[in-house]
Formats: sequence, C-alpha cells, structure tokens
Amino acid sequence: MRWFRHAFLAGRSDAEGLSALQERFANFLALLERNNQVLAVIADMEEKSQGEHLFDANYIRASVADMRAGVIEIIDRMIALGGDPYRPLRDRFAAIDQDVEALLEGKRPIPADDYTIPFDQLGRDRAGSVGGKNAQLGEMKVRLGLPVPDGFAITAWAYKRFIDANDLQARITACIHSVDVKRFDDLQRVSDEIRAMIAESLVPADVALAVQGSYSDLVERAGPRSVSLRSSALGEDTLFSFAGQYGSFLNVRAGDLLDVYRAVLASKFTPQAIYYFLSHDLSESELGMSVSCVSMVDAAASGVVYSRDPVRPDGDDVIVSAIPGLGKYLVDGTLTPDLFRVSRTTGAVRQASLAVKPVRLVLRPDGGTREEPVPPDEQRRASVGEGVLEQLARHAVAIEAHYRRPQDIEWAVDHDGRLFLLQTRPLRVVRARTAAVLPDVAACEVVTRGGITVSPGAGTGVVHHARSTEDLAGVPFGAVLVTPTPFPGLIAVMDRVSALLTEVGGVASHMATLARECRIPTLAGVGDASAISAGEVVTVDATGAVVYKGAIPALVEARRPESELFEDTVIFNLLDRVLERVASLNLLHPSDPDFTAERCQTFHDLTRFAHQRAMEEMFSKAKTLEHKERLGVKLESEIPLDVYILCIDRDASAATGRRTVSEDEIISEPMKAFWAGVKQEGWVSQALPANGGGLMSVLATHLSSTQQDTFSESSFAILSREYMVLSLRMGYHFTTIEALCTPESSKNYIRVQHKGGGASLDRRVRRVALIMNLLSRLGFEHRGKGDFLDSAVSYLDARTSLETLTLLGRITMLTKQLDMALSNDRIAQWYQQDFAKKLGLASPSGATASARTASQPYEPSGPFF
Amino acid sequence: MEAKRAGDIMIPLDRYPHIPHWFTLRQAIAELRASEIEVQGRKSLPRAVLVFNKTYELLGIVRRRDILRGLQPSFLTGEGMEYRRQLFAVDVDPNLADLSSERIVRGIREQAERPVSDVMLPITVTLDANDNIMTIIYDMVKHDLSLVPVVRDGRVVGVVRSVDVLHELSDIVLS
Repeated sequence: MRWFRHAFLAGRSDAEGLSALQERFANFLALLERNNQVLAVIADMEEKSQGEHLFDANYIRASVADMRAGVIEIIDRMIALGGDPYRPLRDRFAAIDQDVEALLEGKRPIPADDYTIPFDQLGRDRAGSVGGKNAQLGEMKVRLGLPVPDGFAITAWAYKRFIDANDLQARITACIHSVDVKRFDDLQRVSDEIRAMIAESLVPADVALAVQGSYSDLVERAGPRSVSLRSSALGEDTLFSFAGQYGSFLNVRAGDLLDVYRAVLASKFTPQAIYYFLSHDLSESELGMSVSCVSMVDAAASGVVYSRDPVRPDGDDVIVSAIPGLGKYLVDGTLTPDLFRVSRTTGAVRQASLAVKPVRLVLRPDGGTREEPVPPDEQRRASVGEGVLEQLARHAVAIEAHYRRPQDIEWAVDHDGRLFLLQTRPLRVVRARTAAVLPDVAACEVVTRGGITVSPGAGTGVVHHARSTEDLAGVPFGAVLVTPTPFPGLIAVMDRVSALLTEVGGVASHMATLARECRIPTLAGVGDASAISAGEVVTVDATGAVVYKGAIPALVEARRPESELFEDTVIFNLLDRVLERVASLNLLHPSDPDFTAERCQTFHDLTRFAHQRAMEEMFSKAKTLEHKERLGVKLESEIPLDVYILCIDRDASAATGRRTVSEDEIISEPMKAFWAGVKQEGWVSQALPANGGGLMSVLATHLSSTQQDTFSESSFAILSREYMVLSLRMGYHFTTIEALCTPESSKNYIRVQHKGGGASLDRRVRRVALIMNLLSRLGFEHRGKGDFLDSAVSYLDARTSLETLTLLGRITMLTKQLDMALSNDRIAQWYQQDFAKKLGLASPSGATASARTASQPYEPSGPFF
Repeated sequence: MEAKRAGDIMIPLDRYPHIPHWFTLRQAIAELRASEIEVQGRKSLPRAVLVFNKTYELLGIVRRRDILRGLQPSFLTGEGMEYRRQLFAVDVDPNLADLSSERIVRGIREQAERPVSDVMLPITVTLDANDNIMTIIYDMVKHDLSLVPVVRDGRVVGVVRSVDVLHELSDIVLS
C-alpha cells in the first residue's frame, strides 16, 4: 500500500507541477503581450509629443487609461509569476497613478510659502507658488539680467489665506455646483455672487501687512509713483489656457492696493473662468491665484515681440508689434499696431508696416488710465525707433535661447527711452510643416532605403559599427552609429552620436524611447545596415527612412525636429508632464543596485522592471522544476543526449500516450532551430576507439566532489511553439538556452548561460571567454565571472532569432569539452578564429577581437535586454 | 646525489597539451603548434598530444608520426584501391604525389578532419611515480617509447619524456 500511496502522491504532484508551470507560462506570455502594448502606447504618445501629429486632451486621457490597465495587469501577472516579493509594485503603481491623475485633473496643491516675494528672489522654479507670469519675470530679471521693472509677487499662499480666513471655499464651491453651465445668465449670476462675496471679505491682517510692507520696500528701492497689479494664476500659460480671462489693473495707487488685490482675486471667477473650470473638469479650489505687483512704467510706446514668425518659424525674423502709449490697446485689439520684421542675426529692420494710431492710452496723474488723441503728425509715425527694435531683437533671441522655445514677450518704453520687459510666455506658433523646404536629394546617392522611423530627424556623420557595449568606447563624437540590435548599452553614447541605425528593432523598444528622449534621428529595421562601410560619411534621413552617401547639411537642417517650436502649447505641456510621469525610464541596468521595485518612478519603470524579472522568474522556475524526467517525454534522436521534453502548449504525453517523441514531432520553432544546429555539427564523442577504457587522470580531481557527482548527459527542455528553455548537461558542462521567438521583434530574446567543465579553472575560463567572443559577434551582451557566462540578446526578428539559435546549437557542439584542449592562450586564440570562420561570424570589431585570457578574467560588462 | 624518480622528472599533466578523442588531426596539429613546454628554463615543442575521453580518462597518445600517418591521402595509402591490390598486388607508387599538388592539398585537408582516435597510440605502458630512472629507461627502451604516462594512487599525474630522462643522465655523466 505504501508504494501505491507514494506513487499516487508523486503522480498528483507531477500533474500539479505541470499545471502550475503551464499557468506560469500563460502569465508570462500575457505579461509580455501587455508589456508590448504599454510600450506601444508610450511610443505613440512620445511621437505625438514630437509635434508631428495633432491630438487633444482626450487622447492623453485615453492613452493613460490604456496604459494604466496594461500596467495593472502586468503587475498582477508578475505577482502570479513570482509571488509576494513583487507586491511592492502595487504600492508604487498607486503612488505614480495618483500623481498622473493629479496631472490630468490639473491638481496642484497650493504650496505653503511667504505671502509676498520680491522679484529678485524669483525664478521659474517658483511657478508653483507665484504663477508663471511672476516666475518668468523673476527669471528674466535675476538669471538673464534683463531690464524688468522691479516688483514683487503676492503668492498663492496669500490667496489661500484670504479664502480660508473668510471661510469662502465652502460657499464658493456650493455656488459653483449650483450653476447651470449651459446658461450664460446663470454663470453670470454665480460669478456676480462669488465676486460680491470676495468684495465683502477682508484681506487678513497678516497678508495686508506683508503686501504693504513689500510695497514700501519697493517704493524705497525703485521709487515708483504707482504699480500695476496683474493676475499670475497658477497653471496659467502652462497647463490650461486662461489667457485674457483674469484681471489686470494699471497705475494703482498705494491707498487702493488691497482693494485692487481683491479685485484681481475676484477676476478668477468671471463667467468665462467658471465655465472653463466646469467644462474641463477642474477643481477651482486647487487653482491658486497669485498676483504680480510691478512698478508702473509710464509708457511712451508699448508692444509685443515674438522671437519667431509664428507661421514661418524657420525664418530669420523677430516680429515686433508696437503702439504709442500703454500696451492694453494692443492686447485688446483697440489699435492696429505698427509691425516690424527685425533680423535675428543682425538686428536690422527688414520691413516696417506702419499703421495709423489715432488714440493712445496713458496714465492719469491720480491713478488709473485714460485715452487721449494722438497728435495728427504723430499718427503715422513709427511708434519706436530702430535702436529699440534692435534691442528687442537681441533680448528676444536671448530669452528664446534660455527657454529653448519661441517666446511671446510684452515690452514698454518709457518717456526717457528706457526699455522694459513686462512678461514672457511661450509663443504658440502655428504648425507650418510646409515651411520646411526639403532640399533636392534626387542627385544624392542612396546607400540604403527602408526601415522604421524610431526617432525623426536627420543626422550626418562618419559611420561607426558597434556590436555590443564593449565596442562603444571608441565611438567618435558625431558618428552615425550602426548596431545589429537596439541594445541597452547604447545609452552611454546617446550624447555623442548624430544618428543611429539598427538592423532590427522597432518603435517600442526601451532604446527607442531613449533615442526619442535624446532626439537622436534613429532608423530601425535597416536590414543591410551592417553592409555600410565603416568610415564612410553618410546622411541618415530618419524621417524619410533613407541613408544617403556623403553629408547633406541642408537635409539635416530641414529635418530638424520642429517639436522645439511647437511643443509649447497648453496641451503639449500637459502631454510633456504626463510623459515625464509615465514614460521616462529611470531603471536602466538590471545589474544596477537601484533596479528594484521601490525605485520605479514611472509606468515605464514598472513595465521595464516586471519584464526583466518575469523573464528571470520564468527561467529559474523552469530550471528548478522537480520530477522533470517523469513529467517529460524523451526525445528520440541520433544524438545520444537524453533530452526530456515538456510541452506547455499541450500535453504531448497525454495526447500520444507515448513516453518518447521524435524530432519531427517537435513543434517548438526555437527548439527546432537549435537542434538543427546541434545535428549539423553532429555528436562525435560517441565513437569510442576499439580499445575502450582509459586511465583515470588527475584532471578530474580539479572538480569538487559535488561536481564529480553530477557528470550527466541527461537534459531537459520546456517548450512551446514560440518558446524554449533547454537545460543541457553534457558531461561536466551545463548550458541553459532560453529563447522566445515571435513575429513581434520587441518580445524576442535569447539568453544563454554557460557553466562548468572538467578541466582546470584557467582552461574553463578560456573556453568561456572563447564562447563569449563568438556570442558577441552575434550581438549578445554578457555578464558573469570566472567560468560562468550569462549572455543575452533581444529584439531580434523571428528569422534572425532562429538563425542565431541554429548557430548556438553549432557553437554548443563545437565547444563541448573544449576546455580540455585550451592549455594556453595561443591555442584558445586559434580555436576562436577557427570556429568564427567555420560559423561565418565576422569579428565584432577590429579593436576588441582579441580573446580575453585566463590571466584577465572579465568583469560583468553590461545590462541585458 | 639522490637519484630522481619518475614523479620528479615528469611534466605535470595539465602542462602537456591534450585533446578529447573526437577532436580532429587538424586540431591536434594546432595544439602542437601553439604549445610550448618549459622545463627548468629549457623550452621545447611537444612531440605528442595526449588524448582523453569525456570523463577525462587518458586513452592514448598522438605523436607527430601518427599524425603524418593519418594525413596521407587515401590514394597514397592505397586503402581506397583494395580491388587493384587484388588484381595486380603492387604497392602504390609514391610518385603519384607529383601528379597534382591541388589534389594532394585537398586530400590532406580531407584526412585532417579525421578524429585523432583513428591514429592514436593506445596506452600500453605506465610508470609509477616512485619508479627510479633505471626503470624508466628500461621501459622506454624495451617498448620503444619516448613518452610514458606516470601514475600515482591509480591516477595519471603526468608524463615522462625521453628528453628529460636524457637530461637527468647528462648531469650524471658530465659532472
């Protein structure tokens, strides 16, 4: 009974082992699939962020929703696959998700700060506290040393204090929720109610004290007769377009300061603004109102300068609009301004279109403004002189360079001819794709055509080939880098190369993301890229998917990403901020100590981490499965290796009732390819000489006692149609090959581990170094130490994957017990060259072809996948 | 002076080139060419490669002459012309080699792919690590060997070469 019970239990645990493995494999495949989908969404969003396509807020929301669903499933699958150690991923997801949601809702809690801050303490990093307008004035004044009138910001924290001290929030919220958003008169009613509430409320004493104190300081420093108060709403000009919806008050006298401050706050609740909150699903309570308090410039002329022509952004012109008097009449459209085109490079006026300006707005001596007629002889005269225009052009170019995007700058000139800059914000240029005129390239010799645009643009440089991380040290500055796969080590040279070509790969790889982030023109899937001679100068047109012989600077210029010019609109800004939270990649190297669940900061990090760990879990689970021999069916082959096969697609033994399977019955593509390579080289060691046994030698005593116990030729494979993990035991050698070959390159990978041998350590290390060299020629990257080698390659297309596996089968046979023969480095070198020639493998590159020797053990060289 | 024993004179096993038995003559040649043996500052090229099986048991020795024998194209050794031998019973004329150098090269390359187990000399004699120099000389002369494996505690630990034995004798004779 006892044996029966034992057999019964063993049988049951076998079945459980198999079904558990099948379940893990199903989770694994689903995780890879989801990983791909998430990467595809990221790739699409990044492409949109480059300004090539139009999109709206709904697109961003839908993309984030897709990504959320994908990441949630990836984490669930990961936990199913690897268990509790992966539960922290859920916490990380929740934290990131909350941030992303907050971004989408425009939620930014008002930060605690001083109630007032003078301009000379501001920079754009303070925008969260003082709003964009104040922050940029501080930035221009302090960082750029530009002529900005003195002033101070009244922070959003002061606004919050005002609202809290008067218990306004609950009442305002109630009012807003009562509104019928479709009826303007209802909006007007609610707006009036809220503004009345604010008008009736008192500015708290501490805020009042701070504002008056700062004002006194300002008068002491700059001695203004009056100031202007303008809204500087949080989020204005960055996330949501509130332009023109908030109040602006000119020529405010000291005694009116607090009243006007309240009026600016009240302007947050115009009917238009309330409509905007509600229709954009914004929580108004999160949107703080900061106020800008600036020394009033008594303007003789005012205007706006665009650092670029918004419809011809590649041109050389700065566009200046100017009117006499205060700028309000320009902004609100009362006057048609003079229009000047000024050269960015020389500051010379190229063109002036003068308008008739019958009136102008000027300061009243007792506060406020008034309109006055312009004397007839001045009406057709240019509002500003060439000197001011030249200065404006210079400042505009400097500010654009500082912010790296076109700017829309307000300015004024006082009666002494002094120029002041009053505001800068990103210029919203019209997309004008046709503006970029492509040079005629018909006469240029085409080196190769085709491939997938991973990152748009064009780059020119000297061709440099690299097969793996080891080859990257010598990549010259400005090179066009050609690699077989988009391997991770490429990060190291992203700041150096002018373009990137890969033979395989697509838009969804991790490296593709980095290429786009670094704005490297990149073409993937250029099948014949390796044939381009090193040292040749080429121009890679990544946008057009063509490689030309020679340098074509005009093409590079024409393809220059326009994203820098177009990414500044509100919606682009939102996308950028969302991308930063979902798509940036912080986990780069699996070998980094920081490669942990806790360090995941974006959705992309989470998928990257899970993808890597899932492969490792699958690998180790498959290797350590118990009862393999009983579970598997034995492979019938002329090769005398006992290979037990377990099919996770279907239960092969159940289907046939047999305990063996023939080679023809293998349906696993990777296994078929690998086995073909094994058979091509054949198994020669079985042909023992007639005289039979030999003499025990001390060579075997190099092995530890445990290793001696494990001499075995029994191997084990877990297979599905597209997957294999094969643990090969050949004498004292252990080789594990794992591969996934699908039609989608971005899922594919091959991983090989080599370990052991019967000879002395120096010979074993020579063998591993030789294998490493051969695998490097196939694009593998490695890590390992001593006689252990762990190599991987990913993103190969299906055909290349299978070819690589066949070569791996051959290498496995050729290097079987090769350690025995590697008594010195010279012979190791000979075998290396002999095998490379036999396998038809080119040297990885001239500089690194030399074999590592036993006296120079190698260190882990880089990350995987 | 104390007479040296086999264990003192021998070259330790891991310093002598060796090869698995399924490796080819070509690979054996490469081993010979790439190896160099240094004994007490004296450098020499190995005259043989040791042949092992997959469990690292010593099977035999492949000497230079064994390799040469194995490399002879089949049309020179006559093995492919058995029927002629029956008809005419004559040795194949070595001058056939002059007919086509191309053919010779091709023939040698073909033969070089044969496994070393085809031509290796099986191990028939071994020495014990404690054997004295006279025993070594006796075995070498009697069996016409210039390389003999040395066994200690049932395991092969090295090989003694005739050149090293001679070197030991020269110290005795010339001093």
